[in-house]
Amino acid sequence: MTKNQYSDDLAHIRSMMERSSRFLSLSGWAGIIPGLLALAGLATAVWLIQQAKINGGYEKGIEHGHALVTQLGIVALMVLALSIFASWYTCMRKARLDNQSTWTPAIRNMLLHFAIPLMAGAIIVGWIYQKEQWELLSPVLLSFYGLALVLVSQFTLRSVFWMGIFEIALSIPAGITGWDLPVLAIGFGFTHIVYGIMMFNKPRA
Amino acid sequence: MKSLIEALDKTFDSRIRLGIMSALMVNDAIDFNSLKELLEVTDGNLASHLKSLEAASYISVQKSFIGRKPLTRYKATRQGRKAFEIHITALEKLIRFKP
Repeated sequence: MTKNQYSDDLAHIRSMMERSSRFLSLSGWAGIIPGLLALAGLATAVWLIQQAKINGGYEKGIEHGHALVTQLGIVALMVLALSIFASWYTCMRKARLDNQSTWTPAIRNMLLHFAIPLMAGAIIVGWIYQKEQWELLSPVLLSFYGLALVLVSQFTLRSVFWMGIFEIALSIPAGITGWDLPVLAIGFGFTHIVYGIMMFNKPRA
Repeated sequence: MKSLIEALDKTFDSRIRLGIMSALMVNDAIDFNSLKELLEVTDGNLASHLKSLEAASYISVQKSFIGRKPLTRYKATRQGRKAFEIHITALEKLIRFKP
């Protein structure tokens, strides 16, 4: 054996470790579609809030059982459900095109580590709803989503880590009164779209 | 140089055995089919390499059933992890070796 063969062996080891522990078939569409859905959802939210203001009822502050809260909740859940479906579908399709398995330990780890911070975030969102602390909603959504991305980056492309850090950083301006919706549009809308486009430019990192 | 080469583990001469061991180092356990897809080898080929790793006590085998389907999972043993680490260290030393 020559030196080249030894370094080939080490390269092989590294590639096997990486391929067996990371899901690398992230599709650009898994960023772009949820990004567009988030923007559409936020636009709907702005429209609903304006309608509520016209009908008077918003000024008194949003209360439990208020139709607006229910409407906004339904929009948010629809965006979430459609985004999860779109990301899952496009990633699985890309995995099949890349001749990768669609149910590996890496994918199971990825789902588990993505779900845990989001569940924790959902508990806090429940309390925000209960205590009517709406101004905390936007920072909490961004920081818990950012944590989920940071955690999941161990099992997929490393660049997801930086997207997570960026989302967490956005939770700072998101707390400023009146900034919550624009910052949500940046965090959930434009960030995903930009990341998705970057994904197309470098298919395998 | 010679003693360094002797430090290499003969069990890891094969690329497939090296690949199996690499994957098992970073995963708790992997089933037969996942290994097959990962390494892109045939059933028979993979099975024979797994047998020799098992014979060296570098991996352990766990057989179970999901419904009626048999599921065979493989894990790296402590001995296997140790041997693999020694092997990697030897490879790294060989690359850095200047005669």
